[in-house]
This record gives sequence, structure tokens and C-alpha cells, in this order.
Amino acid sequence: MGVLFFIAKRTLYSLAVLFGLSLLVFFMARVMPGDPARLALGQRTPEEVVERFRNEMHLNDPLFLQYYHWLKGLLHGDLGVSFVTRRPILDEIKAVLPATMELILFALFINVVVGQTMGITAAWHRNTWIDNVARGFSYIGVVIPSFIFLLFLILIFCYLFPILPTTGRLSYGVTPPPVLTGMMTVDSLLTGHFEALLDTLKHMILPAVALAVPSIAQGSRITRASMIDFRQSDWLAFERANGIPERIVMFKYLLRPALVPTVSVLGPGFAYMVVNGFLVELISGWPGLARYGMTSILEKDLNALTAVVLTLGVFFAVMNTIVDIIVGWLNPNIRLAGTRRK
Amino acid sequence: MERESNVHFSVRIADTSRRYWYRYSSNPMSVLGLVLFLIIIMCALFAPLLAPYPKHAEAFVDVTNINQPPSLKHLFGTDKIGRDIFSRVIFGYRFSLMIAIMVLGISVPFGVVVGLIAGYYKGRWIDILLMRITDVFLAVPPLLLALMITAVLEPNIMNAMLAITVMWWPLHARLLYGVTSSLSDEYFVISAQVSGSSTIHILFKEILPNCIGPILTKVTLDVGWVILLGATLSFVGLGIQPPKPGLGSMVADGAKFLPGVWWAVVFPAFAIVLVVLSCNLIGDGLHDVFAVEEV
Repeated sequence: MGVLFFIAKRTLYSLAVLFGLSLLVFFMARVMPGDPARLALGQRTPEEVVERFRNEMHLNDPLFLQYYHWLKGLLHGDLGVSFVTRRPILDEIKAVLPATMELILFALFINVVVGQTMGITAAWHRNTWIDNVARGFSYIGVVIPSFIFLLFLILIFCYLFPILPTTGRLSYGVTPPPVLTGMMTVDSLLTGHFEALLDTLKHMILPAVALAVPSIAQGSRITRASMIDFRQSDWLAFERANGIPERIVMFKYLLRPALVPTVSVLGPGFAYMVVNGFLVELISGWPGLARYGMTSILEKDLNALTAVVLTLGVFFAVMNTIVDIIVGWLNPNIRLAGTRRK
Repeated sequence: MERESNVHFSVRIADTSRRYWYRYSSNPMSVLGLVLFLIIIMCALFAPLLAPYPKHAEAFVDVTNINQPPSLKHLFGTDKIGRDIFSRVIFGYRFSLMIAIMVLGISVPFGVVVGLIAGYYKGRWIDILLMRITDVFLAVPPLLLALMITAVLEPNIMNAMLAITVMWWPLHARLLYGVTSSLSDEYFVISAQVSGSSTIHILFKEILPNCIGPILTKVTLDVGWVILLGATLSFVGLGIQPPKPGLGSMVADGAKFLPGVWWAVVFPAFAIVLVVLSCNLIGDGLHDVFAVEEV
């Protein structure tokens, strides 16, 4: 009962925030000075063409009516039509989303594996050179933004030691795997195209590492700090007094409470990865959602842009909800905080 | 009588600030951050005097000096139309710092007031209204909506500042909300309430002074992040417009000529990292200073 109530409350809250976001984004795109039709078509287009375009895109309706139709479309899974290509935006986003998901999930994987290993190792070897190296690395990771890190990585691994490709998703001459999920690594793994798998991994490694570095840095710092905080707790002293080896104490009894702060920064960390992805995809020529968003920004395609921002908003809301539920599972105090008072 | 207490008060302030400085300076990294930051501010303030080629910060072409590698004459080399990159980085700091001052000067007071009011009236309708609006802004990272705002408006430095300002106040509203809502149950606030102080007095004279530590720490960190956000916008061509030297647009320009002209990317990129690094070092130092005070 308590758990379901918690999940329901959290989900409702996310839906309310998303509704607010849809209002904000829509009115930002429509109310801001400047005429969306003019922006999309350019200054030199004759007035009657712009007028026809406005009628076609329902830009002459009253704002609230426009918002109503737009929201109704959204709820039916219709994101509208692109101002530039005149194609349904949903199809365009569907085409680019898997590439982004692939990159982000890979980065998330690197983040969790490397970040947690680093944090736990640093806490285990506290105040030794290992700890200092890890701390130095985290500091560098926090202050170097992803896109600059990627440029440095490209300089080192593509030009100084040319072992990795600079841009794109697959080299020329490598047959792409048949499209199943749209994620090239998964597709090539499922269909047995190992050459394509290796090649696309080579293309993915630099942008994924660049995306992961800030979160690795933050995550490892937090894991280290909270493990050290909890290390002196009474209940661990009890386990140790019972003669349980330190290694088991650490992984069985210490890790779970110590992971709570780490997991709670995973949600925002994921959000920043997606947004940093905007620049990383741009630099590395990765054909994903962020690049689609950047193109729509540069082409002033406001319909496509609102759709991209909202898609990402939904992403964040879902991620944050999941993370909150995991945190609630790890730490019953938070889960029960709302119910206990009543 | 009153005079005496004033003297006592000023002595106490001098004493506390000395204690703060002692605590701050006990960490060499924090001092390093402060020194770096002061150097950057000096660069920004005295850019026309310090830059070896002040004219190169604007539209300037020198076809005989295109893409020169770093040398004593051009410390950071020259770019694709022969401009001295060192001079442009120094002027770039000037614009970056201007963005940080304008953005934080507007968004911090606004966010602080919103957070104070919402935190003080915790649970009432005004809290719910203000904080739900804040949540909407915080639902997506600042860069995304900032990109959207600059995309809708004309790309220039004013609109970039506007976009960052619009995205920045919720962060401070959230911070102040947390601090205020925990402080408003404290006895000194309750005693001010029962002695009949006005709400304005309680908010700004009783609660606000107790929030200075967290605000100051956050603002210091913010300087770095705002400059980075500005550089990011100019990296995608939505911030400072050429020929003005934006740190981000310099990196983007240089990236087109990799790997031959590596210095056109590395030095401006390093300049961005240096600002963020120094602000983080200072922020960590301040955090320690105020954290000890709270215990």
C-alpha cells in the first residue's frame, strides 16, 4: 500500500510538472517577439506565401485554441508537422531517437561501472595515493565540460595517435546491420554483424566517454564521501564485532545505504548527459535527437524544437521518477516520509 | 553608549572576517583558485592595456599572419584570418565576465526573493504556486531552454544573457526555499514574529543574513557555470556574434581546422576550463569556511 501510494504520488507530480512544461514551451515558441512563419520562411518570402503557410500551420487561430489543438495532438501521439520538411515530427524523432538512446545508455553504463568502481576503490584506500589520483581526476572531470573534453579526446585519439575515427556512426564500406531496434550495436549483435558492431563501437567510444566523464566525476565523489560517512556507523561496528570480515561488511552492509545519494544524483546526471549530448552529437556527427534539435534551432523550425524539448522533458520526468522510486526502495525513510505523519 | 556598541560591532566584524580568511587560506587550493580568478578579472578589466594586439579583438584581417603556431610574438598563435588568439582570449574574458555579472545580478536577487517568500509561507498557496513554477523551469536543464529562447529570438549577446537569466533564477529560488523553510521554525524568527516585526523585516533582516553563506558559495560556483553556459551558446553560434571574441565561438571556429591548427582550439578551450576551475576552487573553499561555522 505504502509503496503504491508513493509511486502514484510521484507519478502525478511528474505529470503536473510536464503539463506546466508544455505550457511554458508552447507559449515561449508562440508569444516571443517574432513571427514563427516569418522565422521559418525567411525575410524574402512574399507575404501571400507566408499567409498561406500560416493558414496551413493554423498560426492564425487564437493562442489558446492553438494550444488546445497542440495538446490534444500530443496526447494522441501527434507532435505536429515540421515547418521545414513538412513531415510529421513524430516520424522524424522516431528515426533519430534510437541513436541518441544508444549513445546515452552506453555513456550511462560507462558512468556507473567506472564511477562506482572509482568511488568504492577510493573509499577503500582512503588517503592513499589511489584516493588522491581519483580525487584529482574527479576535480578535472567536474570542471571540464563534455564538449571540450571531446575535442581534447579527438585531438589525442584521432590525430596524435590515429586509432579511432573522428565523426559519424559507421565507416564507409562497412555494411550496416538490418534495422530492428535502430540501435546499431544491438542490431548488429542480434544479427551477427560483428564487423559492424566493432566499427560502431569504435565510433561511439569517444562521445560516450566525453558524456560520461562529468557524471563519473560527480558520482565517484559522492559514493566515496557517503561510504566514508557511513563507515563509522554503530550497526557496522556490530557486524565487525561479530567477526564478519571487512570486505563483506563493506559490500553487504555498507554499500546499500551509501549508494542512496549516488543514485539520487543519477537522475539529474542523466538529464545533463542528454543536454551535453546536444554539443557532443554536433561535434562527433552522431545522427541523434540532439543533432535534430540543433538543426531545428538553426533552421528556426519552432514546431520541431518544441517537440524536441518536450520529448526530453518527458525523458527527464520518467528518469527522475524511476530514480526516486529506486531511492525509496533503497531507503525506506524517504518512502515513508509522506505517510508517517498522517 | 550607542557609539561604544558600534565600535564593538566593527571590531567584531573585522575579527570574524580575519577568522574567515584564516580558515579560507588554510587550504592552498582555495587560495590558488582566488589568485587565478583575480588574474582573470584583471585581464577582463584591463583588456585593452594587457592585450598585445587590442585591434585583433574586432574584425581584423592580416593575410600575412594566417594560422601561425604559438611563438613569442603570438603566445597562443593566430587564427584563420591572422588575429592574435591571446589578445582575443583576454577580450573574450571581458565579454564572459560581463555576461556573468549581468545574469547573476538580475537572476540571483529575483530567485532569492522568490525562495524567501515561498520558504517562509511553507505549505500555503503562495509557496505551492511559486515552487511549482520553479519546478517547471527545473524540469529540463538550463542549457536546453536557453538554446530554445535564443533560437526564437535574434542570436546576440543580449538575448543570450536574457536566456541564461530566465533559466538561472529557479536554482536560487530552490536553494533559498530549502534554507528558509528550515530557518522559519527557529526561535529567533518566532521571537521576531511574536514581538510584532513586519514580514519584510523578518524576511530580509532576520532570515536573509543567515542565508548569506550558501548564497555566496553558490554565486561563486555560478560565475563559472554561467560563463560556461555563455560559452556553450556562443559555441553553437547563438551567443556573442563574430567578429566579437566569444570564447565558445573561438573554440568552434578552431575545431573546423583540426588537427593542423590545434592551438586555435586548445587555448580558448583551456581559457574556459580555467574560469570554471577557479570558481570551483573558490566555491569549495567558501563551502568549507561556512560549513565549519554552521556546526
